[in-house]
Amino acid sequence: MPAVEAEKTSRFRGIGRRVISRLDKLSEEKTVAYSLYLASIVFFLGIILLPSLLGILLKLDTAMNVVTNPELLNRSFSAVFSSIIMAGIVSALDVAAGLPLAWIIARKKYRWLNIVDSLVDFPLIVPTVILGYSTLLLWCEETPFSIIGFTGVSPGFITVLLLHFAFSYPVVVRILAGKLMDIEATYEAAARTLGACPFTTARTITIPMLKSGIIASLILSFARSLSETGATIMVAGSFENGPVFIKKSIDAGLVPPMVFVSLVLIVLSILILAGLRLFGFKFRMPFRKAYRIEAALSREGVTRVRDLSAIIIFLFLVLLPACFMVLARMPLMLSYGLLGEIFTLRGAWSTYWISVLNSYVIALLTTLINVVFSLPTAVIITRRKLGGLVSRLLEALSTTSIIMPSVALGVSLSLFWGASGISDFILVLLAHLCITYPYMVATMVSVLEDIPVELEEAGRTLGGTPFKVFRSIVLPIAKYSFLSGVILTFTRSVNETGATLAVSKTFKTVSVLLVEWVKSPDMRVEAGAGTLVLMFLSIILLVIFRYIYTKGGGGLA
Amino acid sequence: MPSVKVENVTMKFGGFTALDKVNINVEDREYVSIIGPSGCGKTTLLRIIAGIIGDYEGHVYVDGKLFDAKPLEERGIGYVFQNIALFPNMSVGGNVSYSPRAKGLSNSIVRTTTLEMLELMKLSERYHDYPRSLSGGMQQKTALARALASSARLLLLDEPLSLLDLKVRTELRYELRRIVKDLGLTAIHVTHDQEEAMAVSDRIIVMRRARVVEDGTPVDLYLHPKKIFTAYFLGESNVFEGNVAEADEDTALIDLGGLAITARNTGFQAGEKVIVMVRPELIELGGHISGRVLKKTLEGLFSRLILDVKGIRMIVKQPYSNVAQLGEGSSVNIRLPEEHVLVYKHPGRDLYSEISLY
Repeated sequence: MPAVEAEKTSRFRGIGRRVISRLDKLSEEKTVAYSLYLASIVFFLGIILLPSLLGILLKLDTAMNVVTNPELLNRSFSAVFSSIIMAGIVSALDVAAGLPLAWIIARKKYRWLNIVDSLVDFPLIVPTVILGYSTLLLWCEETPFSIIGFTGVSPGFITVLLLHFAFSYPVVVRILAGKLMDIEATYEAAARTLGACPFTTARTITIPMLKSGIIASLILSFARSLSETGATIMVAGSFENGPVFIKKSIDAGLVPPMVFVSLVLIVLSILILAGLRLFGFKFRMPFRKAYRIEAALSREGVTRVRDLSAIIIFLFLVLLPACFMVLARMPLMLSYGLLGEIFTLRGAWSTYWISVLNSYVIALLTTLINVVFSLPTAVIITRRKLGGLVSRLLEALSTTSIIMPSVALGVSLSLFWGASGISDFILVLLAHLCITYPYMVATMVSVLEDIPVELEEAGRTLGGTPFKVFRSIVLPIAKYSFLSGVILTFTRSVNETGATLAVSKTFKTVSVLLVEWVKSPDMRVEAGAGTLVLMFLSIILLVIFRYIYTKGGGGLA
Repeated sequence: MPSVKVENVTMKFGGFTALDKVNINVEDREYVSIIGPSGCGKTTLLRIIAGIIGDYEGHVYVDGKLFDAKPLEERGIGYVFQNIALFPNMSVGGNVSYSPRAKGLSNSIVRTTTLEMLELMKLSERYHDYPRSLSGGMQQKTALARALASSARLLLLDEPLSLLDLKVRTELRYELRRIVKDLGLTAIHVTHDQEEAMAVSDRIIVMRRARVVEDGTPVDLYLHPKKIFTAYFLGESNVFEGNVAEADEDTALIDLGGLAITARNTGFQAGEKVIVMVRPELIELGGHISGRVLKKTLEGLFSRLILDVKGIRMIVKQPYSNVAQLGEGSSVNIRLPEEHVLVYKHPGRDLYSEISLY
């Protein structure tokens, strides 16, 4: 390496070290800690919560229009009911099907597991609307897999279920695998030596210890299913849940249903999720005895079938829909010579590359800002820094912006910020912050909950400043889970469409552009090619994330 | 009744050999300790016997039956972990009753076994407490009660006392032996603490670098170790390099370089290079070898002196009252009883690599 460059990197390192030591010093001051907590609460209230709700609160009076109109009221309630039922089924299926795969990733030692582990993130990087389109192609048109098309089942409940399952499944596997890796294997070995077969061990030891992860998974997949709008409309057919109903009414120029349904959905789901947290943590599975069937279920043949079905479910219900659109368009792409055209930066493709750049800038900023503000929030929640009540409230409210139908969120945000005349770029950034913030908070909360406070105190008594303790003790322990939070935030920002479309007229992210392409009949092949390139870029990014994370992070920096 | 036989067991973790053709035998109702420096493979060996590690070469027999393919839950082994590993989601009672419940025993048996074990470990009062509210000693007692409640006849103890403070550790070690003997169990106890091993065991197996060095009763290993490593690892020792100056049938005169000492001859020839070991507490006062006190420290009722004897550093331990008048710089006469001077063949390489712990 030339001397100049070496000097440069060492100077950068020097600056980095100085920044870190400055932060170390700062973190010792009580006032600094409390200003950080205050700032994160102000951020949450002013940037996340209030703008998301205000559009609804301002038009609250119009909700009466729905209440007094029996037909609208009926439709609203049945939409809310469908939303909740769908979200409940999806989140239950996610955990049931995600747990075995997370188990394989966390506990088995096959070489090919690294590939599976990386493939799990794959559906996350596909824009949700593309996933919706892909789902439609795969399950409803004339493909070998199109059970629905052939059996005459119209798109609706089942297609929405398949779609929601596909986009929330990766999140659940990420969270559960992260938590499983954090559970010490000794507990399982102890249970086994005490005579419990693997199944009984899982039921009585591992799963109870995994509780916070399961609850976090349920909350995130429940919320995501409630709020997703763009792709759901695409596959919904005659099925109508909250977001679909809202979108239809807004398209017809009706605002009251949005206000009413959003409000009911928010209140109901905050209640449901608070109940889940409250009773979920208190709930203990009774363990009276081991049953014969558990030994049978632990047998090698049975576990092999279970593992195999977990992988098949992942491959066919999650991975295949995620890339089916690209696969289906591949022959056309090749015959048009489209793949060569992509890099020419001509015509549509220059718009494409600009939108890709837009997306990554937004995603990067979103992730950084969220890491900075959600961490203190997670600390306040788990360590009860500002009292139990504040913790409870913060935790319950922090999920609001992902419970809200994303189209309603978009409308609300543009109402709130619209008058201020800020640029579309900032608007999109704000929208993405709202949407990803809960993910980051929820992942960090579930991580911090499992790190004993004693460990941090030990670090502190050994002379570590709070920031140093966080860096050198908490972060390395929570490494995998923290990485999951970052990946979730980043990919969610890249693939978001609903709210982005609602707030921005001129500023286009790549997902928004791809949705436009998919919808215009003569750009469908390009949409496939664009998605393919986006997937490719995202995979490279994910690999880089992973690399940075496994290289750095550990030990004292 | 459980006897344990480990036959030619080899275990590799990647390029690292944790166990290299290890053979051990443990009799029924025997209390055996495996000691050795950290990383010598002792915990790996224990985990292989328990079935926690499966992909090894060689064979494990318990009570004459081949155990290699037996699932660990069917081995009937009580394993006590170094990190205690009490289930945090269960109370003391829940932990102790885990095994009878997991085996599907009837409620009344579950209850009586649990209460019996808690009684045995004097933990009945803590039935409803959760592990995090217990002291370290109580936690390890609970873990022991949990292992015993599995009605295992073979107890594997993986450094069970290493995380406890000295006082609790010494108390619990006698408790351990008492319970194992009272219940007529077989126990294999892994530790790096030689004092603990000598206090509890019928027999000690010394391991180093993935191999068994030697085994014997605590007294035998302490007084007449066959290998210089054992001498060095068990207790404190003075180890010197020397040459056999004269040798006849009974005795050998060994030149340590400036100092010549007499030892029983165990087949050495004049001119041979040897290693000599003497225990500090077996060196007596009042002989004709004179030295100077470099340092004096108190260890309980014993005083530990570091002497300079004609340029050779020697550690001597004597009851406190015997050396009360000596201070740093005083001169003192000592005697090395020839029956306690142990002579070993020189390994040829340097002495350090022969006795280094890793």
